[in-house]
Amino acid sequence: MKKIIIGIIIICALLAIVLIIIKPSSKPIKVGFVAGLSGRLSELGISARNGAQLAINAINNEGGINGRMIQFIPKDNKGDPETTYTVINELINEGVNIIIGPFLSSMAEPTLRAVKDKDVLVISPTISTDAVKDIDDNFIRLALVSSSQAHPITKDIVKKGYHSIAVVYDISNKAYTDPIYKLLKEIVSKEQKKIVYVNSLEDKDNIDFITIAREIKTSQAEALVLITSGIDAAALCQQIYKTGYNIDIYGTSWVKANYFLQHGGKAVEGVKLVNIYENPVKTPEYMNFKNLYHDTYKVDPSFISIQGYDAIRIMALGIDYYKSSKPALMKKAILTIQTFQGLDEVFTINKFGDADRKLSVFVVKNGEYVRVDE
Amino acid sequence: MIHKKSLKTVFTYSFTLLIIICVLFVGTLTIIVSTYYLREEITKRNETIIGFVTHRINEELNRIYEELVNYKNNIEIINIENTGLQKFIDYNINHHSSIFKIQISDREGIIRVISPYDKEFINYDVSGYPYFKVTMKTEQPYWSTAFISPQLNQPSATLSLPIDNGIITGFLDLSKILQTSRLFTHDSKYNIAIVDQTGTYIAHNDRSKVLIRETEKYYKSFYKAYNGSLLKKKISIDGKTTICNVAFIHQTGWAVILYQSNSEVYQPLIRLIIFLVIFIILIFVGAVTLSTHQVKSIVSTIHHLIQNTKIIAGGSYDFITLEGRYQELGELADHFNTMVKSVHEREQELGKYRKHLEDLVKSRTIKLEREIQERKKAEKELKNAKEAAESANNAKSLFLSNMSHELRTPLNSILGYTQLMGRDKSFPRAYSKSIEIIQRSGDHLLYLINEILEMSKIESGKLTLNNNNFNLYTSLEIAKEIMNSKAHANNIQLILTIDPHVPVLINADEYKLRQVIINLINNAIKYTDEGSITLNVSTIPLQDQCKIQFKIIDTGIGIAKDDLPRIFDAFIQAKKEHGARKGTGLGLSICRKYIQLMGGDISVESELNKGSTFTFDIMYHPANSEIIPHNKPEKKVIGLKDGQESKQILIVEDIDENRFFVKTLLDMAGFATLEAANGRDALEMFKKEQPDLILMDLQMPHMDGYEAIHEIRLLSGGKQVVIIALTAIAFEEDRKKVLNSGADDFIRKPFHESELFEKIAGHLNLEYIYDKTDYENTSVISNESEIVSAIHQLPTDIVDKLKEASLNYDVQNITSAISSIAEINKALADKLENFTKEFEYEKILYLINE
Repeated sequence: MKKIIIGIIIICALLAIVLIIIKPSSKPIKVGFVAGLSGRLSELGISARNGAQLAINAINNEGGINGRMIQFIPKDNKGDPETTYTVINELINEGVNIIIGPFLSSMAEPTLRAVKDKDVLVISPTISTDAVKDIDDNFIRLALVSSSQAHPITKDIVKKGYHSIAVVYDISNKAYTDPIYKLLKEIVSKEQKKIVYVNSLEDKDNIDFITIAREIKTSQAEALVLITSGIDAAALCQQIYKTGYNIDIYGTSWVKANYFLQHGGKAVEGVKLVNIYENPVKTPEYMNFKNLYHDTYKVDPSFISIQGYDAIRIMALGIDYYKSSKPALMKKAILTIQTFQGLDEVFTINKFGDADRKLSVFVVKNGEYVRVDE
Repeated sequence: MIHKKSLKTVFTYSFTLLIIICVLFVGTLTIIVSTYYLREEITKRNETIIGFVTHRINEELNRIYEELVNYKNNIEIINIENTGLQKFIDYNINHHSSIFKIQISDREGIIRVISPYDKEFINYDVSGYPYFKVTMKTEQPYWSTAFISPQLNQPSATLSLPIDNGIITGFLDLSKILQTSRLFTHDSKYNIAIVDQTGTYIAHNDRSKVLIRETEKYYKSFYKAYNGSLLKKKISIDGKTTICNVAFIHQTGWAVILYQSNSEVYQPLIRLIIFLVIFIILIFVGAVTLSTHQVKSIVSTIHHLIQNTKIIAGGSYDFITLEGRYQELGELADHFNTMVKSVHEREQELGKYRKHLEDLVKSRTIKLEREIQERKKAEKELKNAKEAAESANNAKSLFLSNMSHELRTPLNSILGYTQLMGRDKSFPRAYSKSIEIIQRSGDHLLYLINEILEMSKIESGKLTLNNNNFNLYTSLEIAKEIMNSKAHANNIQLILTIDPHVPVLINADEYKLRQVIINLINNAIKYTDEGSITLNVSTIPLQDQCKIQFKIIDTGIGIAKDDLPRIFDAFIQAKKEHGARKGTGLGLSICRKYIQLMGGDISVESELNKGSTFTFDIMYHPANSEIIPHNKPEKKVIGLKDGQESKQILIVEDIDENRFFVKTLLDMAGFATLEAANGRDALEMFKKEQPDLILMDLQMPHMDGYEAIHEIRLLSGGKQVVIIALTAIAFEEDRKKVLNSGADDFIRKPFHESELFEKIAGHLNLEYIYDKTDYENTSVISNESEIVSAIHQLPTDIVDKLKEASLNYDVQNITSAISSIAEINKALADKLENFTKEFEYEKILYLINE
């Protein structure tokens, strides 16, 4: 009797070992997500998260990547660098080795600090600071370096023959805003133009848009460049609009990121925004995504949602390439694949993990963005 | 051996097992029932909670709606441009906690009135907002999706109603509406949440989920499955199965979700199971302890009883005192004591008897020992006597054997020389009669010696059967014929009757059978004075054996009853008063031995003066019909046939007379002879002369015949030479020994010359010339009637002389009478001479009287 029981136990153990060996690891792939999900500027993070969530839902509904489901772990960095550092460490401690995010360029530094020498791969859809450009690290960026946005704006200003320029930029996202502002300043001075008004929105909790609008009016600037979040840009546009002061307004990609049109109303008509290239012909995938997004969240996706979606798809391709979720292999895979079909456009990622994209200029017309072709 | 379990083990196991089974049964039942009621309870509770929450929210939303409608009504009365409106709204907002902001915008989306008043938002364009767009489009009340209000940093939603010149929008502090109940605090024992129409959490125990605007991904599937009543769905959260109870709020499309993880559902059940397990363990430990204690107590009492029993078994009869609280065991002890008492008494009684018995046995033993000693002594004496008798008997047999051997040797010479003299034609006729008498007497002596020898053979157990195939009828006729003359001489009729079932050819020892029949008939003739002797032959029907029964019935004097048991003993004859009868007295004894050897037995029935009947039977085998040999008349060799080379024969014999006799015989036949007195001389002679044949005596001094044969065979030409052994050794069994020694053949001494010549001729391939006169004479008279008629032709005086001499067994006168007859009729004389040779004087008398 004893012998039979021992025999059965041995057989079961062998069977279990065989099953473990044969069956591919069905442990879910933990994917961390870091963004500002609460607070005044959380709309950017939330729309990115929603896009990423839809991508993950699609993958999991199709049976996962090589049979492994994706476990999505979003973390709120409250738009704060130190919190970013903390939540990334939390994710690493939870066994996460793929992180999507963060989204503000000012989070690049704490992120790099947190993942340094760690076996983690970070894919940021929007960070575009020049500070991390051309560095071979475990940090892949899908956005173009921010400073490059200064070129189309200054080009248009020069073309229009404006001499006095006002600039409002958000110092809280300095990594993003600073390079643009600096380059802008450089070009403007080179072109013999003058920046007559500058506001860096230092007192973040008590921004008085009415005062700023009045100050811009007083400065008699002919053009206004906004390097802020969309919501702040819209609020400022509303107050300028209320003053009745006619001024050409330019905005960077951050402005276009979210809710700018919604918050801005008629006040943002005619505002020119610089952003990554958008394909005039929308793919069926894009349309499906847009419909699904609207259906789910009752609003249209922003380009940030698309970036979030694309980030997850690129990650999935990276895992699938070597059938491995090891960060080093994923990175190798992504750099090898190089060219990606995003929801909207085709882009490449260079050997440093930086995306090469084209830029487009859009103008708000009848409550919608219209691409201004060169 | 069957392994017996201890009482303690059996009791403890059974008791414990019973308790465990009971507890397990009750436990399982409890769990099943509890599970059922627990599920029911949970379902009921969940329904209650959800119902309560839904009801509260509905109530609140209705109230808000009513309030906003109230504003709307007032706006339509009071003009939008009226400053009183601002005051009216401000007043009401401060007194209402759920709506924290009211905003009235015109048809262009420009905010005209905002309460509480905010300069920044006056004339603010909200035409981009969904609530403005949808309300303006549908002109229906519109509940917006939830959002985090920058002012409150809390989830908010808006309710917009169309008014004449635009819309009125109320901003709701959802935290105030939803989280008035303690259900949504983080330490709530219920995992409950409210989501808006996008599935985004607007209330949750975990507030962070609300702040980061996490969505319930199953919201859509809930919405699809919802049919108006409480929805129950199983979903998987982080791999854990969770049961969701969902109710929808119709006005807003919000959902109230109560999450209940499986483990949570079964937590009370697990608690119950743990309790049961602990209970079972406690019961188990208790049961084992209690039963062990009880059983120990019983067992120790029983052990005490066992110990006492051992003491009693050891011989001590003290009373047992049992400690313990068991009535039955106490009674057992009482009965045990009663038993001990009676056993003790009986033991004492038994002791007395035993002592008496021991004494008795002791005295008897002494007596018996004495008797045994006496018996042993007697036995020893008896054994000694038996050994003495046996050794005497053996000595007798040996003596007889030796004696007869010793007697045969000289007799051999006597008979041999008598034969030689008989052959010599030059011998005076008057002596020839005497020689014949010598010859016959010698032959008779030889017969007597042979009989003695036969008996000694029987006694030494050397008797063997020599079976052959023969014609039983012929053999019986011959026996009858032999005895006929004697019977006639005594005026007795000899009758032979053979049952037709008796086979003609049989396989048995013919010689011995005929010997027995002749002997018995001879005896019957001896003891019968008148009447007849009948030989009845019949078969005894047996299944697996063939037996023939012979009956010899006479009408003689019979045998006294006293003599009957002894008549088959050796050397015994019937009583002398019936007249002295001749013979060794060995006849019947030999007959019986022969019959027994032939697988049968002999019995006798007799009545004095009326006659006797001897009955015997023998076993036989059916004979295969091979040619039955018949005896040739003896012919005298006088030389070798012409053209045959004379052969050289070496005679090896230590006794000179014997050697000379053989040499004379062979010389007369025309053989060249050589002589040697012992084996050594024979070897020398053989080397020198290389004879054709050697006649080798076996018992010789210096080198005996066996050794000589062995040595000759090793010499050159020794293998080809024919060696015939001559020996006085009487027993037939010795033949084998002799032939094994290397001799080609074997002749027993004393021998008839014809036997010697036949053997030589056989081995050397020779033919002889025979004495014709002898042959012709004997062939003239062949049957009884011819003899009788020949006798009748003789002169009366010669016949009378023969008759008288025969009656008196006067051998000399018989011989002389026959000599006289020979001068007249040689053939008749020869015939009569043959009768005298056989001592058949009775037959001669019978033939004379015919």
